[in-house]
Amino acid sequence: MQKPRRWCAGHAQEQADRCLGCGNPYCEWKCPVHNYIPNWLKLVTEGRLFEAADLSHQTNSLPEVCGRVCPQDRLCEGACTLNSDGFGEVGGGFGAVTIGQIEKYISEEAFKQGWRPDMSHVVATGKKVAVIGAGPAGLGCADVLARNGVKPVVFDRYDEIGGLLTFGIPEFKMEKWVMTRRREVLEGMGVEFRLNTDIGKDVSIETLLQDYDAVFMGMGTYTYMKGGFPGEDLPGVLEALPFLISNVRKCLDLMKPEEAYQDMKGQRVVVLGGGDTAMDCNRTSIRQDAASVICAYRRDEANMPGSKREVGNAKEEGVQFLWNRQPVEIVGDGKVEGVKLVTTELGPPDARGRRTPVVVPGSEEIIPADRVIVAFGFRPNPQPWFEAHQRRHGARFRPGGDRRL
Amino acid sequence: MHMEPWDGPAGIVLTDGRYAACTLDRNGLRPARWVLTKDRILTIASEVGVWQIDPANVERKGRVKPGQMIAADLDTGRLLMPEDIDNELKGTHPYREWLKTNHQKLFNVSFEERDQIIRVLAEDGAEAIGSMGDDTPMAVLSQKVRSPFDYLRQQFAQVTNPPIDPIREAIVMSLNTAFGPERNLFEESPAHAHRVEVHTPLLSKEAFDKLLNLNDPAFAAATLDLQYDPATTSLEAALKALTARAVETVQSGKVILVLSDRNLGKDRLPIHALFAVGAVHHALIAAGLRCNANIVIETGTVRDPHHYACLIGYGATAIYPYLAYQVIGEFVKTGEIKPNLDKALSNFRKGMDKGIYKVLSKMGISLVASYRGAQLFEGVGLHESVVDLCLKGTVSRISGANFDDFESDQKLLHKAAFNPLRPLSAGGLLKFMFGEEFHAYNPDVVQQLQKAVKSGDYAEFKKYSELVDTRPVAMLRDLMKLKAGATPIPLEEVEPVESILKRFDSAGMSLGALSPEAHEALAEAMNRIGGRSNSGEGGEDPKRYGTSKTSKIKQIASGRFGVTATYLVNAEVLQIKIAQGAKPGEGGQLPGDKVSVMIAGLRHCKPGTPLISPPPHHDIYSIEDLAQLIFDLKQVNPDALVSVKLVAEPGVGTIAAGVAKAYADLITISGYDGGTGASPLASVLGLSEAQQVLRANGLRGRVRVQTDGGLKTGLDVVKAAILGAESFGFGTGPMVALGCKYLRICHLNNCATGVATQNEVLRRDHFIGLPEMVVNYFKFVAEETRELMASLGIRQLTDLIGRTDLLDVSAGDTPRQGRLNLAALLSQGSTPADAPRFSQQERNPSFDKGELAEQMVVDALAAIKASTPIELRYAVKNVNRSIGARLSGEIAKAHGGKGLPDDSIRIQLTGSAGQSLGVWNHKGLTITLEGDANDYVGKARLSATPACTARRRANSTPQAWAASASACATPARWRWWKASATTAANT
Repeated sequence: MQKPRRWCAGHAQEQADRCLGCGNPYCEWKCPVHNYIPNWLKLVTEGRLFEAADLSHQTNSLPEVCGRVCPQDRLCEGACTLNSDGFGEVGGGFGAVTIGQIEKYISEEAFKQGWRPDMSHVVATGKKVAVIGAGPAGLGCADVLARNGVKPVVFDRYDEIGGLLTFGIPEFKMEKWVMTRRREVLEGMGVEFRLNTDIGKDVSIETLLQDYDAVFMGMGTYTYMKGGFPGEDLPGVLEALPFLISNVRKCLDLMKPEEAYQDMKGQRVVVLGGGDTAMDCNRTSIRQDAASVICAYRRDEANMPGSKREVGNAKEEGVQFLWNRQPVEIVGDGKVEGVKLVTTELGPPDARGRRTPVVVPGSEEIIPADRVIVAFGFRPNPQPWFEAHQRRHGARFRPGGDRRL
Repeated sequence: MHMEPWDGPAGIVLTDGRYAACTLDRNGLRPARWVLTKDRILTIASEVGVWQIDPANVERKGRVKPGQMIAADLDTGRLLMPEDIDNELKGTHPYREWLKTNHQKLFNVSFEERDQIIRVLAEDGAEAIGSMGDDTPMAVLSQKVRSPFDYLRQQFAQVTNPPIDPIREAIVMSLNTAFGPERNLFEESPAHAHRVEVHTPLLSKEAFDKLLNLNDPAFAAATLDLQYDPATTSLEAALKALTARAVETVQSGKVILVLSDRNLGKDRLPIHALFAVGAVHHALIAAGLRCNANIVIETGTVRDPHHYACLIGYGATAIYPYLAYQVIGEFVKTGEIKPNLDKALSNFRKGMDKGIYKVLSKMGISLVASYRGAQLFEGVGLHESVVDLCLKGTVSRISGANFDDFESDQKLLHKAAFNPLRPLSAGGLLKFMFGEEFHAYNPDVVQQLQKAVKSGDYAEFKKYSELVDTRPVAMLRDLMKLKAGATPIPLEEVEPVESILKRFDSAGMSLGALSPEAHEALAEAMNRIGGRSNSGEGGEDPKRYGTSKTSKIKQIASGRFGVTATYLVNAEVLQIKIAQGAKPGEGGQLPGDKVSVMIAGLRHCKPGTPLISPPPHHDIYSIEDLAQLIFDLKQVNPDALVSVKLVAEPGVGTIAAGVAKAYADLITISGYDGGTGASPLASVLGLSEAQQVLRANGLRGRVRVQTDGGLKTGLDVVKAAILGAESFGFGTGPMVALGCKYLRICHLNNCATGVATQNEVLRRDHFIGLPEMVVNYFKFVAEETRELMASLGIRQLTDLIGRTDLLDVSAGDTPRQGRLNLAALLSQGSTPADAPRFSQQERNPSFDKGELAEQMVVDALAAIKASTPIELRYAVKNVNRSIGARLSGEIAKAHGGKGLPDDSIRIQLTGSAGQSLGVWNHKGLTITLEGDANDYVGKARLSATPACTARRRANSTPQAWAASASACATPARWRWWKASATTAANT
């Protein structure tokens, strides 16, 4: 289990004060949204909490979420000068400033003390925008619009905001009340939510285009990538996202009668993949009392995409890792009975600098399994009405879940 | 609250009918204790117990502390404690109005500037200390809005006259500023004395208010608004209208002319204070009215000492920097800084004043009155139209931004200022900030370089040089492209890597600034590749002499730390550091934390003492003095080349010519603001000027020219060679190769990479640099240089030097870059093409062969080597300079630092000795002179002061040099001055 750690002002200040204030702030450079990290660390050191909260909201609409779920160890904290030796290698350093914890502390403590985004200077423009999807992209959009005097109305098919933040990320990584509170904060800023509303079903896209000055689509990446090997359709083979979502919905007591719950109790689980979603599946399975959880990944530990911290957590909780293993088939008669894996070696780096795994001949083995969870990554899931409107409005769809506005 | 602190000792009890108060002097020399009883009787007396009070009846009691006031409000019955009174006073200031941030946005104040500059001044009363110089683009090349002040570079004294030492010579400096018309110096009248004087031109609110309300026609004030409506007029037209108004106002008899940009409006733009002050100043001169009026500028643009210096330098009598005060007011109000408002504001002024003292001192000026209107700046990237109207007479060699450009900058700021949704900008000028100003050593560059040198993979280095060479235009040389269309030659035909590597030096970084590990790794790497490392100022551990860890270049800086005969004879090059790029006109500084026992030992001083080298070399007050120092060095080590390091500024070419005539073998032109080699802002200007002047005067063939301005890649080397350099100095590049991550905390002794710290743990556990990494770096740079040479069809690097025809100037990315005129930098004027483009001789020998000194060596060498005592007698004349240095050098060579036993070599001289008698005197050499001597007797000696007998008594105390120098040298100096004046008149 993640160790619950109580953070007091003293502790946060002590950590923040460790920041060297580098001339090249590698943390800020590495951060995908370029948070002004050294600046808010300094504010925390000086006990200027509300200013820190203002500043951290300047570059990020959901800092309390990033503080909890960002893979800081390969972003800001990984890049922290104190974390690395002279050449940016992890380890051997002083230990990074605990930036993620401080980011979380800023929001939590500020909210607790009554801080809210300052909207006093906002001048209403009279414009309104429909935002499809209450996931991170939609919420970020709504936040920025509201701060700029545009009225956002956010539609989502689920009954709570957050999208995958709420339904994809397991509760042990982020408490669900975090999004509930953010909903209140956003509503306080004038954001309107219309939940349980599926665009294309409950409301047509034409209606939105007619009623609003603009429509923003932030509908997520739910199409999962397949391995393309035999046996993927066998009963007992699960996609990562539906598995995680059903788990959260069960935990939140939101399950509708027609929804299926995938229970791992007593099952031998094999998770395929090495990203953070795979780690979530691993750790959720453990919590559902699986008999065993094995995670197989085709590269070695150093080359996996997921956060090292999450791998560490999973190991600590009893997940067994098989590195350099590539699945070639899911075997079983009418249901899953095992996964056939081959051993790989790392070949030369590809164009992006990642080393491609090469199969070692004659290394096949079968790992017995009752359930296989496939977590190979996701792609945008275009809606049927995209095609028609794409041409008409000249909109462009950017795959890859670019959440920055 | 606005009272100046007063010394007392006194306690004052006062009342205005409503309040009864007691206040104490700042030292609290008069005690005041108070007791408040429950029946509301307040007693204040110098002691407690002046009458009997029942302890049960006491509600509160206490004492008034130094400088505090307590009061009773007789209307409300409230007791006002000191902090209540402060708050009450604070509340009376118009903070509400002050707190508007659109002023700050309009004048481009960033979070960074507030936090790193204004706040530090207000808190500490001193400028913030930084490290590693400036690696941002020069203002005219920037794609961001930069202050017009950034287009001006302060000039500094370099060889032609000495800077002042603002710390040790503070007593001669003053910022006293007088208001009122300047009158005829040759008349005397009571009106001459009728002036208002302030002790600094940076006015407090009180001084400013008072000045405007003097109620005396001799100081009649008028305020001219600097805002204009861009819809109906342009910046240039608005400036002309302003100058006309100013002239009229002065003609109408006003004396204090206030220019104010305070009154901002949604549809109006401010004229920048620099342009306004400069234009009004020149208009008043043209109208013959300048001495009748004082320009006082009320402005939001002044927030640091450079801004302050610019406005004074262009004619402002005084400055009221209201916006900086407002920011400080905010700091105090939010509790961001500890001092109270008064203290914070006075700290700010104190820090700003210290800053301007430094600016003055760099130019060798002691009074602000002499600096005012002196325009001691170089304009870099300013269009002639701007210079002619506002900054008339300022050197500006490459044209650049015009009024339209500055107006469009101001429009951008104005738009943001009146958009309530735009927060204050984050900054990014001092530190890298994503999306803000470009930095040459940004994280991508640093990390890619480290990856390359660690892996030793040339492909990785090519990625690094791609990053550097294709960056947005940041330096002037980025606008110069290699001419296309040359016929390439095969790479094998280009001279080998090894011979190019010989031309590479590392720039001077002292042991002290760097950790011993980093310093040694650098030296070892340079020695391995056949280049030379530079000891920096501060000596070198004698253990390194003669090993692969020795620095072949030994630096002689103004502090002369660790400069001994032994140090000097263990060198191939002796470099006199006249100035350094990071802080031209200032000396090196080593914080006390970094002065460890080892460092202190090498520098012959006490551990823990901050070591601040003086701005001037105290033995160089002219080019002739520099020539003498060069001769001194050539005497002590005849095998070494003597190099002189200069910083690029206008006129550096002339100085370089003087240095060549003074028989230096090498000249280094360093980039202004280079920092530890970070950015070569103006080295292109300086290098091309030096090349042009040296060639035009037939001196180029006598000296080698080196540049060390932020060279990073092979392309930089090729361009530098084309502009005239035959040798190349690298500062930051090799540092980064050793693990430096450009943290800019060198001054804190806290360097997390162990490069720039003396901390044992950081050095031991966190320094990962190896000489191989530096070797890789230089080999890569050399290899890339060869590739580029091959593509240009050039076989020898010497074929490249001075070939400015191989460069094309590109138009750049922005309109103002397009307006730059770099042709002058590439022109060779009327110098014939066959005039030498690079050094034609190994060394530049002095006309003075030092025959007497050589004879002394012939006579004494055997005794020195055998350590046998000897006594020799010679007659001297004033042409025999630096007598003793040759012998000291030989003793140091033969016996190292311990030298010979006292009095081993006794030299008896008779007559008038030339300059520098007994310079670098080493242990075992005793010189006795019967007669008199010229300047610099016993300069920089390690022991055994030369003794002057007959008219001067022998003397062996450490003050001897000063004593004898002043005693016997002053008349000589006088003669020398006269002689030099005569020569000048004759030529």
